[in-house]
Parts: sequence; structure tokens; C-alpha cells
Amino acid sequence: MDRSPVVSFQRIGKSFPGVRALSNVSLSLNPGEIHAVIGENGAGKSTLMNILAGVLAPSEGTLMLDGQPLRLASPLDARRRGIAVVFQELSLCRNLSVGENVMLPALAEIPSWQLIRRARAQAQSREILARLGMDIDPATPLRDLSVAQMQLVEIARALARKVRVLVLDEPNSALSPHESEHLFNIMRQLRAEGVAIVYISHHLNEVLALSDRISVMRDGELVESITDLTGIEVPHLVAAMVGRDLGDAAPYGITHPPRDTAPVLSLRDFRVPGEINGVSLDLRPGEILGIGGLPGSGKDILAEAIFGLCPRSGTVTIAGQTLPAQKPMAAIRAGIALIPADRRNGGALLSMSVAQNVVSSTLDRHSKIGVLRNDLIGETASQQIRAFDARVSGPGQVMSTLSGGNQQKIILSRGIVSEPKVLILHEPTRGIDVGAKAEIYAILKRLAGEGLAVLMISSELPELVLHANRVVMMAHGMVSRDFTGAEISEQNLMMAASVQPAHLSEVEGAA
Amino acid sequence: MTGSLAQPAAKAAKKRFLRFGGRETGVALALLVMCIALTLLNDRFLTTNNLLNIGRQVSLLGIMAVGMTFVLASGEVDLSVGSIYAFCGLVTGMVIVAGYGLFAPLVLGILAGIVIGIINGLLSTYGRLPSLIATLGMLSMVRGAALILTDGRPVTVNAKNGAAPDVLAQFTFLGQGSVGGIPMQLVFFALIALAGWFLLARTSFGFRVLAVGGSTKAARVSGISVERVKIAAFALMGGLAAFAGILSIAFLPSGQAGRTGLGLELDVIAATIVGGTSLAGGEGTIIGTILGVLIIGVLRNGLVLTGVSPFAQEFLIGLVIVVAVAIDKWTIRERRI
Repeated sequence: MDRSPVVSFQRIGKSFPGVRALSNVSLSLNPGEIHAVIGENGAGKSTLMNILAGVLAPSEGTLMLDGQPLRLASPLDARRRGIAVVFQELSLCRNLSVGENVMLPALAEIPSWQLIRRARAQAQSREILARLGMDIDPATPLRDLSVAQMQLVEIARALARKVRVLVLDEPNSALSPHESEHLFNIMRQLRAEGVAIVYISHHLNEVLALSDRISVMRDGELVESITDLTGIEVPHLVAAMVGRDLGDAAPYGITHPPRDTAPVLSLRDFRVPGEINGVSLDLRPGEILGIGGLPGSGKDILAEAIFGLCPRSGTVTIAGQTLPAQKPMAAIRAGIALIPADRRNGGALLSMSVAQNVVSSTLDRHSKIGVLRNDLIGETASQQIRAFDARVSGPGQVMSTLSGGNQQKIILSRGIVSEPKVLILHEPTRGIDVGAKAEIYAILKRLAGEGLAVLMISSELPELVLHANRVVMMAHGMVSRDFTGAEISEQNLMMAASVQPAHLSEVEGAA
Repeated sequence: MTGSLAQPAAKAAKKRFLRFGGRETGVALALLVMCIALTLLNDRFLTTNNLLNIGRQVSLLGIMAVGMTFVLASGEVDLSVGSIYAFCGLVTGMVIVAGYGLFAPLVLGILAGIVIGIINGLLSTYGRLPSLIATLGMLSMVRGAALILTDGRPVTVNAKNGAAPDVLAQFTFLGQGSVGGIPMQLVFFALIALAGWFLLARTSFGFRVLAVGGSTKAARVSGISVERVKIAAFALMGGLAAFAGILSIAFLPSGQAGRTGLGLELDVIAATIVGGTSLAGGEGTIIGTILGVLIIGVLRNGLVLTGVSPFAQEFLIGLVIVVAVAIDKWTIRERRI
């Protein structure tokens, strides 16, 4: 087999205004090779793949195809040259059939005045699906498929055209272990056919089992490219991804232990169908408990499920009283405040004013027989703006005109105004600039110092390491491990996140 | 709204004018231009009589548009209001003719409207039907119920059909009478608009309506019961549509299930949207709605006065709706980015 690279990145750099996303990355993709690219969130993997997909143009360096410099005009251009990128987010049309989805790129290129030869397209799609081991009628509506099957359809679409380079970004995030194994066999088969495969994954055990070569990225740079995988184990990869020589110490961890008091929030056998399979946790006043885990670990539904926005079973006790399921108002009354992950769709009332956002969960207190007390609302809002040092022109400013950091401060203040015992934050600093991040951490520390119990759910390991007293890692809908004090290190957390289901017993997360 | 919060009064007033007033100023300006043009074109336009006439003509539309502002602001729509208007008016008329006095029939008619509104609300929230579909079905069902109830025959409230003379006098006064020269219908519209303004802009219910329409998820996170708020908005709409229907029968004083209020829902929605209420929810003011109602009323009146053919009238009213909403949408885009 010809082993000269299909694609090579040569000293690729990419800058966005104010951010250097990639610098000096050189990487080769060889035919018949599975090349894993790993790194933490924000390490530059996606940017690199977007350059390969023709979505972004590099600021520096050259992309080479078959030894020739390549300038990709568009994703379509990349696709025509045999480069197929399957992103993690599904981009399928739910209203079309499976076959139409598979053939969509080809069908989309047929001019509108030409007829589509359905029978031929169907036969072709059936062939491709069969190649992926999917015994499914191409005429089936896509919406009848499971998420796992949809992920395979997404891959089938990539194979509908001649493919020389196939990028799979977390392709098995929705797949069961059995389905994943099936996907891995397909990847091995494609490798045997000479396709150059880029495999992006957080599941390091799978990466080791599957890849021929592993490239580790950190802070926009390629830190290590491992070609000889003999003797390489997960801890080595973790150390390379995290970059600091960690040992076992948590260099920045907060060490002061929480006060030895009764827990204010307790979860017992907490379950969300299909997401969380029995989690037990205790949260004490004055403590910042971090929750981490990979996508699909169940951590992303935890906040909303506790708060009552989705169905759940098991017991939630807050300050000794049992909380009913799916009653957000009861949760607020019992003393829970939720800061959701998505500000644009869920956190903020964007069309309303800052003041209205501050008081929206405490209308009863800010009204008299149903009539709003604007004087009181203004007073509360001004107080909170000062307390959180939010940069707003005044309480009347429309929420949508604020920066992400200031919006988050206002949403936080809404939570605080309801005088909670427990503050639950989901991705508290997503999409917020560095300065505002630091301010938000400082606020959380101050609040915890005042005796508030803080539950911080985050995908950012450094956030958990640096700003939580205790961290619970979740995997496969269960508690993987519970860390305190010096045990809290990115390395330990990452190991706990990528633990195999077989190694998980239903551990008591209660400390 | 809460624009005046904790700021020096003058500065706050200016801010509020700029922010919340922006949209209404545009509509108000358009209304002013129309009025000036009609004054110049026709000397009968700017007379007390004609203005009061316009006021009376738009009152029933206006009463319903106040309700529609709440429904649209909460992120839903109600297509059944024309049918509620007919059904409840006819029910009240029939019960009056049957000799149950005045008060009981009025309460019964309005209650019927509220109940239909609650059904609309239940279907659109817990029933998980899009309100467009739920109320489209109710449009047909309620009109059908009115046809069944009256057997398709007109209902006329007069002494010949058995209405007691004193009850008849009081009932027709509601629709035809006037106080100090101001038609009763206009008095009702003014009172309802004032109450609607207070409810939307100054109470926690109005706040919840706007929050729910702005972002369902954010409203839930704030502990607001999205379902209850929407059902209440539909109930309010149903009650107001019923009241408008009752006034209509008191004015004429008759109605027919196959004709009364046919297609009225579209006029109501159009007036509300011209007034700046967002079809997507989360935005809306009663002042804007009043202006929207007046624009349609003045336009209709002006076209009649200037002798434009009824066919061209229909065309021009549609044009004004499209232009008014288009200008609004284009300016929103500028404001948002």
C-alpha cells in the first residue's frame, strides 16, 4: 500500500480576533491508518478539523493534498476532493427518508429542473447502508430511527461519495458499547480499504485500542504525536493532554474542608430515564461541589432534573424536606436556584430589562396583590447590580444588549435574590471572557464562604480542579468517583471520567 | 414597564420613551399622518360626529384586540375569537328573549366565553397542540355549536320575541346608548383598554405573560407556571370576545350564527400586530394595540369618506397591514443586532 500521506498539515496556524486557536501544527494523515487526535476542550481539535473540512481557512501554513498545496474554497470543495468530516452534531433532515439523507449531498447537486432517479438513489443508499452493516429499508423515515442509528446514517452519508479522508468527531457518543464495537469494526474495515481516518474522542481506552497513531493537542499546539503505541497507557495520554506535571497533587485546589454540618441537599437513587441510572450525592453548606463527566455521562441533565424541569425518580431532600418532582416553583420555594447552561435559550429573558431579569423568580415578593412594586424592583435590581459589579447602563437596559459575562452575573443575581440554600450552576462560565470568569469564580467563593451550598456542573476540568472543594465524576449515568482535597487533579478526574461501564458499581457518592 | 427603575426620573423617562416608545411612536406617527391627510382631503373627517363614529366602529374590534395582545404576547394565537363572539352573543340574546332578566344572561354569555378560552388554553398547553391548530378546530366547533343552538335562524332581541320592555331597554342601551355623547361601546373599550394596560404593564400577571412569551425555558427556570399563564391569557381572550359579541347583539339588536363575526379573528390579529405585538411572543403593549386598532378604523372610515370603492378598500387595508408589519420587522432587525 502506498504510505505517502494523503493530507498533511504544514505549520498550520489560525488566529481569531484576540485568540490564537492554533499555532504551528504539522500533522500527516496516511492512507490505511486510524489517526486519533485527542486533547481537552479548547485544545484546538475542532479548529483543525474545520480547516480540513473547508469551513475555516488557515491564517498560516499550508494544507497539502497528495503533496500539492490545497486551498479549500468551501466544505463542498473539500467533499469533492474526498475529504469527509462527520461532526458530532447530527445534521440530518428528520422529514426525509433514510435513503434520501444518505444521498442528500449527491441529490442536492442535481439541478432543480432535472428529475431525480429515485430507484437508483435508493439502490445506492441501500448498498452504502449495507456496507455499514445496517439492514434498514432506505425508505424508512429518518425520524423513526434511534439516535445511534442516526449517527450511523451520518457516517453513511460521508461514504456516499468516494472518501479518502474520513474525520469522525466523537462518533460513538450516543452508541451503546455493542454498537460502538460495531462502528469500530467498520472503521477497521475502511482502514483496510485504504481510507485515512481521523478519530477524535475523549474515551482514551477506545483510542488506545483502535488507533495506529495518536496526536495530542494542547492550547492550540501539537504536543506529542505517538506512532509506536506499545507500552502507552491512559495515564501517559492524560499527562500529555493536561500538560502540567501533575503528580498526584492538586496544585490549585481549595483545601479548606467544608464545615462539618448536615447536608442541605441529598440525592438518593436519583434517576432520569435513559440518562442517569441511580446517583446518590450529599451537598453541605459552604461547599462548592463540582460535577464532571464526558458528554453522555448524565451530568448534563442533572441540574434540570433536580430543579424539576424533566421527569426523574428517586428522592431529593433539601434541608430535610422531600422535594416533589417536576415542580420548579416548589424547588425555588425549598431553596434551590438554578443557573442553566444556555443563557440564550433558557437562562435569560432576553427581550426584558435587567431589572425584570433580576426579579423574575421572586415576583410575589416584588408585588402587592398582584401589582408590581416598581420602586422595590428598582431597589433590588440596583443592589444586585452593585453586589455583582455588573457593567450595565442601568436597571432598564435590555438583557440582550449585555455581554455574556454580564448576562451571567444578572442571572446569578436572580438566583441569589430568591435567597437559596443551594445554588446549582450548569457550565457557569461557558462563552464568557477570562476576566468575567474570574469574577464569577470569586462570587461563587464568596457565596460559599457565606454558607451557601454550591453545585457546579462543568465540562471544563480546570474549572473543577481550581474552584471546587470536592468533585464527583460521573460516567455512564452513575457516579464514577468522588474526589476531595489533594486527589482533585485533572489527571484523576479524567481517569474517572473515562472509566468503563464494567468497572462501575453503584457507588455511594456521599462523602 | 420597569423603565423608570431607580434612576433620576427625567433620565429614566427619556430612556423609557426611547426604548419602549420606539415602536409605538412609529405607529402613532403613521396614524397622525393618516389623520392629517384625511383632514385635508375631506372636511367631514375632523368632526366630532365622525370621530365618535370611528370610536364606536372600532370598539368591538378593540375590546378583542386587548385580549389578543395577551394571547400573542404569551406566544400563542387564538383563531376562534370570531366564533366565540357569535356564540356568546347569541346565547345571551336567546336567554334574554327567554325572560331571564338582564344580569344572568350577561354573566352566562361571558362565562361561556371564558370556558371556551380555557378549553383553548388546555388544548394548547397540556394538550400539546399548537394553538394555531387547536383554535382553528375551536373556530369551527364553536360556530357549529352556535348553528345547532339557533338552528341557523337569526336571533333578534325585541319585545315581539318576548323580551321584557325594561330588560330590553337596558340591554340595547349597552350597545346603542351613550353617556355625555360618548357611545357606550366606546366607553367599554376605553375602560377595558385601561384595565388591560394596567394588567399587562403593571401586574405580575402581565410580567409572567411577557416572560412566558419571551422564553418558555427561562420562565420555567424562574418558577413561572407556563401552562397556567397561557390558559389565563386564553380565558381573558374568551371573556373579552364574548363581551364584544354581546355588545354587538345589543347594538343591532340581532345576530345570526352563520354570519355574525365571520372572519373577525383575522381583523383582530391584524390590528394587534399592526400595533407592534410580536407574533412570536414576548412583546406587546396595549397602547400599541389601541393605535393599531385606530389605524384600521381610521383607514376604513377615510376610504368610505373619500369614496373609494369597497373593492379597493379591501385591497388597501391589506396593503397597510403588510407595510406596517414589514416596517416593524425591518426596524427590529436593526435594533437587535
